[in-house]
Amino acid sequence: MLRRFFRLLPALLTWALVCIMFWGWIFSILTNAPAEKKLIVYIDAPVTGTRELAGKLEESFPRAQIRFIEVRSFSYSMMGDSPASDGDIFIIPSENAGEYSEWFGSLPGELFVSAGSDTAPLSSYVFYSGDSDYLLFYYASSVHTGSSDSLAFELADLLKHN
Amino acid sequence: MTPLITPETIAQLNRKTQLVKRARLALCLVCLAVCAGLCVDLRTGTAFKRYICVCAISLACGWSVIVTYARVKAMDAIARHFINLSGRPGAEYTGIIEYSPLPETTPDGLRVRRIRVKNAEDSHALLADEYLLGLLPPAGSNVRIEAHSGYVWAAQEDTDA
Repeated sequence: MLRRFFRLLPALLTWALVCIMFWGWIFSILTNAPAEKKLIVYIDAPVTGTRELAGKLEESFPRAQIRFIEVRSFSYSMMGDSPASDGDIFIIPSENAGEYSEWFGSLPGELFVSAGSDTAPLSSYVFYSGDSDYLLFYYASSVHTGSSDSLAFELADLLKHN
Repeated sequence: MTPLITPETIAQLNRKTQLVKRARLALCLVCLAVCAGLCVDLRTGTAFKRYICVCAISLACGWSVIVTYARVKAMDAIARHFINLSGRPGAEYTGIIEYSPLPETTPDGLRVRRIRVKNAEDSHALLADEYLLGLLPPAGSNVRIEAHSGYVWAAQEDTDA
């Protein structure tokens, strides 16, 4: 019995590898929606439970409008293969705002979290540095900040009340 | 003589093999349908859980196919062995049956045991797999193996006959 198992082991391991890689590839295709169908939030702070938070936010948007909401920390763009500039909403400490000013265009930043504030939105997911104000910006080229599609503003409202 | 291995035995084994093959195909189709269902309407909040589910289902299905593939291959080989054992068409071997103590492995990967049918004039060696061994009488029994239409059947002499 054990001998038979060891004879099959290479085939079983190969199949496991094929499954993980094949479905990973399929899911990467299926979750690669066009910019019109997804909203991306970048936060310049450590973030935890991003999938859970995204799932919660997605419930507020009908599938026909938005299929995916992604919440990423800035470290994602350093480790991942997509640039941070593909985001729609940015939450960044006020002192870093100047670094990214060219992304935000004419839309002004909104105060998201005040320094030293006891109650902050998304506090169960985001580890804010206590001594900085955090500002919310919209990406200048986002397709969701126009007059016909203002979903980025709706999402920002949701973020503020979460 | 009570027949132990007949063409019906082979047909039964073939039916079992076919059943396993069909069950395996049905399982694959069901798994494929479930996986396709899990890939519909993905959202960020559900994608990872569904990926885990799809991987687990595919793994379980694939592994069961691999395991049953080996079993079905062995069963096919068993069916072939009954035919291979026939020797010359119409040949008959009568005598005392003996079993070799150590098992052997055929090129098909089938575990077999060498059996010998001995009488005063002749001795004939055959290979018997686990399935065949389960049907044959204990060592020292008087048996007759006959080849009929490419099949082999064995018979044990009834003691009360």
